[in-house]
Amino acid sequence: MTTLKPQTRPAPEAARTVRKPSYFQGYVLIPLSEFGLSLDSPGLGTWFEGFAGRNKDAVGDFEITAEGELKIMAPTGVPGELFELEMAAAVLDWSREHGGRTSGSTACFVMPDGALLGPDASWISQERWDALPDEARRPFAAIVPDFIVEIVSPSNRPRDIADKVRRYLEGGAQLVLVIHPPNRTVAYHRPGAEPEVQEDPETLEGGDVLPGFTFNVRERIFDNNP
Amino acid sequence: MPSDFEGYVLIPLSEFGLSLDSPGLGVWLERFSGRNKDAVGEFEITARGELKIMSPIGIPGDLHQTEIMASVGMWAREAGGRAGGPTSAFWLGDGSLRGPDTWWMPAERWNSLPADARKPFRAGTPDFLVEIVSSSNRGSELEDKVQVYLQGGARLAWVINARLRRVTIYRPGAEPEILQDPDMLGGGDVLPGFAFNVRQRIFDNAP
Repeated sequence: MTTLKPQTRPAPEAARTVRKPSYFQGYVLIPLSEFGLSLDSPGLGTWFEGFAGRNKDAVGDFEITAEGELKIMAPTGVPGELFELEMAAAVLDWSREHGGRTSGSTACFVMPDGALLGPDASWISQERWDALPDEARRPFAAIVPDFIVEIVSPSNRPRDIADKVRRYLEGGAQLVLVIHPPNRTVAYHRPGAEPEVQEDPETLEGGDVLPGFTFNVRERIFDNNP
Repeated sequence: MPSDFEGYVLIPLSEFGLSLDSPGLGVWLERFSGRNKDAVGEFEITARGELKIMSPIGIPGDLHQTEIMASVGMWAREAGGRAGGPTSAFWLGDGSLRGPDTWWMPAERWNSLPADARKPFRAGTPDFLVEIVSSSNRGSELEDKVQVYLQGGARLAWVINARLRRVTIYRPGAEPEILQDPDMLGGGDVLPGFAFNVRQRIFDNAP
């Protein structure tokens, strides 16, 4: 039996209309097995980089979970993307003087459990970075940054942020800051210690991990609504 | 861990090693849907060759969908024909696969629909369709979709926007008719004797 489709299909819609991007809030999880992959696939990082490159504009941001799923997250909207930029720029500025390697929100890191997570801003000490063999750097570095910042956006759920913070600390992060713009809070998470939550602080500090680093979180984030 | 989102995500079929012309596309979608429905939501194939992952319809949209589907189903029990809801998807004329929120077609047309090579879904367009605007089915997209239905032979389509209390009625070769806060909707020539109290069943039905 022949199919009706080739005879009846008019010009593809793509030829007539502009390609519409995805439109969602929150996140979608798809098992890696649907792509013929698993956490143990040697080509997982390369595939992920290719997938993200092909689909970032139309779909959003991506991570790989420790459960072996592709996590598709809604793109950060306005003003969250500005906050991410402000934060990463400040850390980058500090690291120009003090050394180490700063990353923004496009970087992803391979966690010890195989998950691939992307903090909003992060910093790795030069010694730890230099000690990382070349094959463990590409396409994604198999290392948990020393310093990590997460900025809560509408597509983040509190339990997901808590889960990420736990993974970062278990993986060796020294300081994880969670900035919550609507609540105007900054939470300091350190290994083996209770989180310290500051209400509407003017600045946040890098402490022992980023000595001398301060960031005017009130001006740059809480009151920054262009 | 289930997904947690509202709206829809589009992923090119090529990411799954497939295209609109793949002979196994329908079987693949049915199995993909079976494996992932609980964790993800509803699925369609777009005319651009993408997998569309849609958030579950949610409250009260699910109730609205059930109300109209049940009414059409009850009417069809007397009047005949095949009626259904979004779980029965159709290959449409533009190459896409979609499950309308409610649909009906005469039994003889249903039986004459060719079994598409890409089973298990039928290729064809129901005579009557209802679409309900939701976060994963935005109004502008449903308008595009209704044009595909009309090109495929649909004789009557309703797009119901509960939030705006508005129904747009589409017929082939005619301008869409917009009804603001209507009470009763009639099936006209296509569904003789069918009437649906959209105000009571949908607009004012938000428990």
